[in-house]
Amino acid sequence: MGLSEKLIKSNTQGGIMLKNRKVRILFTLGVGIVLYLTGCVDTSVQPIPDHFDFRSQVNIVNVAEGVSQAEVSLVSKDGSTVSFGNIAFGAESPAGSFTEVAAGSKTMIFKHSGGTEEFKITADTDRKIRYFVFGPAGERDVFNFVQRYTFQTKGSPNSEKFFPKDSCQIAFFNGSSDATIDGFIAVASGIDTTVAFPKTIGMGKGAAYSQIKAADYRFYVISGSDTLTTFTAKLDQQKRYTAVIYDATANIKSKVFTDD
Amino acid sequence: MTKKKFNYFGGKIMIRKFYTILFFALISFSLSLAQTGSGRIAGKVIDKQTGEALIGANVIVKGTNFGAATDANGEFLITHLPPGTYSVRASYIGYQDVVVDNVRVVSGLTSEVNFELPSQEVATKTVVIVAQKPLVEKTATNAIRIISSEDINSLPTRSIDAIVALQPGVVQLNGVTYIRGSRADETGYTLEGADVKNILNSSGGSLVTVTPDALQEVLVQAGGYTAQYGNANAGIVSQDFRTGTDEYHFSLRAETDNFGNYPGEEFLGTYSYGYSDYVVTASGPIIKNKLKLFVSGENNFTRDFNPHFFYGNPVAYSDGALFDTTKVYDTGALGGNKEDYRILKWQPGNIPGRMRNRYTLNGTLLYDGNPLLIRLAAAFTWQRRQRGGPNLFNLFNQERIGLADNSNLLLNLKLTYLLGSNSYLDAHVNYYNGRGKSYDPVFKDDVMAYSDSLENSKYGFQYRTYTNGPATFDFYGFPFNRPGTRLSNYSKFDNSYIGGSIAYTTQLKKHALKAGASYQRWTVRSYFVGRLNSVVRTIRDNPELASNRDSLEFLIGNKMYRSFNNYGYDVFGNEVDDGLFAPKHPVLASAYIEDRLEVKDLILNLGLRYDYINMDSYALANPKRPVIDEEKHILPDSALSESSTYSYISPRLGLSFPVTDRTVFHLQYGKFVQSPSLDIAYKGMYRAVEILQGANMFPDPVAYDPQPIRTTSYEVGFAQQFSDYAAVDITAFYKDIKGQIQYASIVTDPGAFTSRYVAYINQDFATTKGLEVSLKLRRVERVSAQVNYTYSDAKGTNSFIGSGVGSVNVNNEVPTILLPLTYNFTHSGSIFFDYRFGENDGGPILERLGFNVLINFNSGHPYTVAKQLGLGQAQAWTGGLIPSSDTRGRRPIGPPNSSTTPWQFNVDLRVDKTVNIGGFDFNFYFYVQNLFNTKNVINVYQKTGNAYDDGFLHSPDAEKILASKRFTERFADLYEAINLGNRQHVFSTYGYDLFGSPRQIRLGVLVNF
Repeated sequence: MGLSEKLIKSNTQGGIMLKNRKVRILFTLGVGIVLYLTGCVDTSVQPIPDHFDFRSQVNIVNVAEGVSQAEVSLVSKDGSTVSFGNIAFGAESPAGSFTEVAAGSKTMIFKHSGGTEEFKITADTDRKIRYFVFGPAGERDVFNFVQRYTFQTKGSPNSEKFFPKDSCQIAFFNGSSDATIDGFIAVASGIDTTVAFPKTIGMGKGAAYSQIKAADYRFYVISGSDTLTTFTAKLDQQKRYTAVIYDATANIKSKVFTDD
Repeated sequence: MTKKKFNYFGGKIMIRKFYTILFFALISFSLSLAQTGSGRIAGKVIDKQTGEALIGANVIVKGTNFGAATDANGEFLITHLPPGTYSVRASYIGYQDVVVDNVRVVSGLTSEVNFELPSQEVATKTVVIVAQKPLVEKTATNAIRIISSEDINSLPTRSIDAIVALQPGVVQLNGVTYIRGSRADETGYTLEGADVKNILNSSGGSLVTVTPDALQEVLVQAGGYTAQYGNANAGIVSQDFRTGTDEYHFSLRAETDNFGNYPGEEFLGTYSYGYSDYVVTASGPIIKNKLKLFVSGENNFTRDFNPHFFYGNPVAYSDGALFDTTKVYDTGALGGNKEDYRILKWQPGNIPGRMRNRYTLNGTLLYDGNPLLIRLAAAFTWQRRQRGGPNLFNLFNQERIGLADNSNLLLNLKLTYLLGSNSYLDAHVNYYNGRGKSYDPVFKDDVMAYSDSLENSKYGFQYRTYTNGPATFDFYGFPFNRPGTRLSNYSKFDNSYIGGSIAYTTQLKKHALKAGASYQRWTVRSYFVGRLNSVVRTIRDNPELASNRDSLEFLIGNKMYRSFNNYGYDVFGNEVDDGLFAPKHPVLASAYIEDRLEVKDLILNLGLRYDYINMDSYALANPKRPVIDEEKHILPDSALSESSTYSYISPRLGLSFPVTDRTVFHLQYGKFVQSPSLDIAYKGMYRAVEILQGANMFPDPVAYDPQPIRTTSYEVGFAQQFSDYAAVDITAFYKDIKGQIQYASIVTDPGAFTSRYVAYINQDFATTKGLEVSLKLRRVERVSAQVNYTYSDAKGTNSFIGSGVGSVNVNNEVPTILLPLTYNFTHSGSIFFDYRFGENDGGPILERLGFNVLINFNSGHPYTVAKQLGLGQAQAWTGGLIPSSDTRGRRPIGPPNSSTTPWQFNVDLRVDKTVNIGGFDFNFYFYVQNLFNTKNVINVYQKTGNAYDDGFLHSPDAEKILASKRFTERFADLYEAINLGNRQHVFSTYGYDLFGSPRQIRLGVLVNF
């Protein structure tokens, strides 16, 4: 008896026969349905998100002349507000770090004893930015210093190669209303290094990061042929700093903020 | 919006009411596009001794519930048999039974079987006769070519398209099939009676992949078909699956071209393309005599799904440096690092990045519960392939070669109810779904990562900026992609239709009356997003707009609309059913009535067909004054009107005169109508607006509210069987085709936002005529043969929908004179010769050994000798070839298409031997495609008219290039190796090859049990 005959015979005997038939039919159809459901290309996946939550990291420095303390907040277009609290003259908020905010256009509310001022700023996507509020009343403005992508390692700003282990980087900002800076000279102590930064930086302007050896430095701020002021800073290796010169010439001040 | 309706009667507008009445009259008569799927057996039963008709004799088709009793003339008719090969038994009291085996039933035709019953006094046991296939189809009223499963199995190819192309009137050019001088989208395809024509591709083709082992037969009608067929003006390729058998049968097939020589090694002077094919079939009853199943499964895998003549790197540069060891440094001309280098070496035979892996499942389930028959047919395919193209420039960037996944499913449920001995009702319900997506192999559905340097860096791909990928290597002016270069955009589609048909067939004396109707409604969805670095950059630069769905949608419409081409999906890729991005819902419906009168010396097929076509295309409310929303980049509602619907009545007339048993004349006249391929009409809203704006040259515009294509066809034929073994069939045809699609420039009214825009319109016409000759030699003394020849003269205003791109963009005109069509092969044909030893024939070595040879030939096709106006914007390495999609710089030398490519000859060989091992028949075989490895020239360089030298290296342009520091003499070395040798510039600019496929050897075994 052949295979087919055996199968047929088993199918012609009593109640099991009907059950077997049903099972066979259902099995056959079932296999087809399973193959269909599992085998078709899945085109239901949404390839582009319908919204994005881009972020920025920001830090705000109050170097606004005549503002000993300001209550600062950032208001987004959708009305959401991020407060940076009270920032003393020459101080940053948050101190020693950056706050993550939704990327996009913002209104900076700068409230102080002389009134409330508003500035339009942009927090670019995935950028780490330090905002300096500077200048005297009536000429007040905000300088934004974009430091790097937030996802980049601190040693690799804007896709540049990593700086060597014994080095660091420093940028400059002139927040003084009347000082003209024609350069900096950095004299290291302990190592035989003197670095000149012969770059003119006008009011409300900055100079991008420059790489120097990590050391204890005395910086000489040059204006014309004079030294406007000096300041010291301990610059550690593989860190980045921003040095700010602020306030009117008569009261010129300086500060070095640690960026990374 | 107003709905426009057009009604035609043979091209003339008639009143709509008439058709409404006619339509419902046809419906009420009971209706279909039951198309193919069944055939008939007719004949006579007589007394062998006296010749008298036997009245009331029983004739049954063994293994089925089909049968009939003879009438007063001893004649019988059995209708509605699924195609296949049957045994038919005739019995009558007092007479011995006679069984005729091997009776072939073909869809739509009547097979004649006559019985001469011996009295029981003369014969004592059943008489068995083996029928032979008829050499002349006496009942066919048009030229119908039947390819049986045996034919398919014996040919040295596994490609159904290639087998179809062997038939008279059918040609292939660059992988596209053309019938009798019509365009590719005018060929129809059916499977199990369900329409599987790809209505969304101007290159035509079938929607469904079938395994050759699953096919019972393929019918090719190169025109002249009856009223039940529609949606195809040129020809119909009909396929039917096998039906389950009464006993269990199984088969296994394994085939390979890899003899240990993959990759890059030669075996018998031939390369392997990493090809393998495994097929399993099963057939048998689930419930004896009631429910039969046939199923086949196939896995087809190849490392190169379209082999080309491809040569490895040369030994040395002209300065003597060896290719295999010479470091070639990036010139930096494309922004790359000059310190980077590569060794330019590649192996012969195999172009990487062209893998295809395909699984196919085909099957039928037949329930025979006479008088009710239910047949479920299913075809399912899943496929993954690489989209590298024949592109050597990805040699160092294999990881990013794009992938494309596709699946398609066809389900066809056919119910037949036998209303009596000569009447039946047929109903089909069919469902098709085809979907797929093309994507980057690394990031798949995560489109935002494609051009995101951060995401790319996780895989070691170094980007230049946040969204700009690695600079392309420039090796003496040849652009090789650096590792990590993004090669893919993202696209997906999901197309489906639900169809149904009903048909009523009855035999009233000599009249076979059939009336039917069909309905098919598609849902078409497509999604494409490109320019991905721009998309990523724009979204990141606008974080607030990107922060919620509505504003992001606005941002896309406002700033990124050029990157999107979507309908049926929103911009994010989610399916939507209405609104701005609603899917397309074309509707094709038909009704027909046919009367087939069969008398002794005349078969008359009269038919009338009604077609309803709703293409659901964009229609501009005022084509002379289009309006766009310039902020959202959409066509506002006020700028659009509802697309037109079209109704046509097409008469069909077929005559067959069986003058004798061996001589038949046939005559056909018919009008045919179909929609153009709808890819020309379907674009996303943003894409449509971008094209309307016309800032760039767009070779692929939108067809706004296109009309159907109309064809009037005439055919006259003659078939003569001139011996017991041989017959000749000669058919002449003439066709007049109107309303083919062409690229055009539309001049707008003063005040419109643009002075002109480009669009596809119904503009081209063609006339084709020809002669087809088919000579068949039935097997005699181990030999069988068939010779097909076609003479064709096809002329038209343009060959392809985009032929007018160059002239429109240069002088806003399109040629309107008749030119030879590019796919017209004046002479073409094939010769098939088969020599085979039968059982107990030729001794143990030669027994059941066979071989066959297939020779294809054609006289070449027209092309235009032309020069290109300098290099223009093209890169030097392209050699100034004229891009197929942008012919603005082309300047013909002489009349268009007045030159012809060389003759082509191709020889294929197949050898097989069947051996019985352990009670099973093992059929071992090999076949060789392009036996002599002939480098057949199928296209030529337009500038030189040959396929070996484009003339560029001798041009003044090349002289300057070679003298420059960037290119040097090595540019010429690479030009010869990469372009003249391996035609990389041809693939890039023409999109096709200059030569046919190289030799391929495949070895296989088939076992049946």
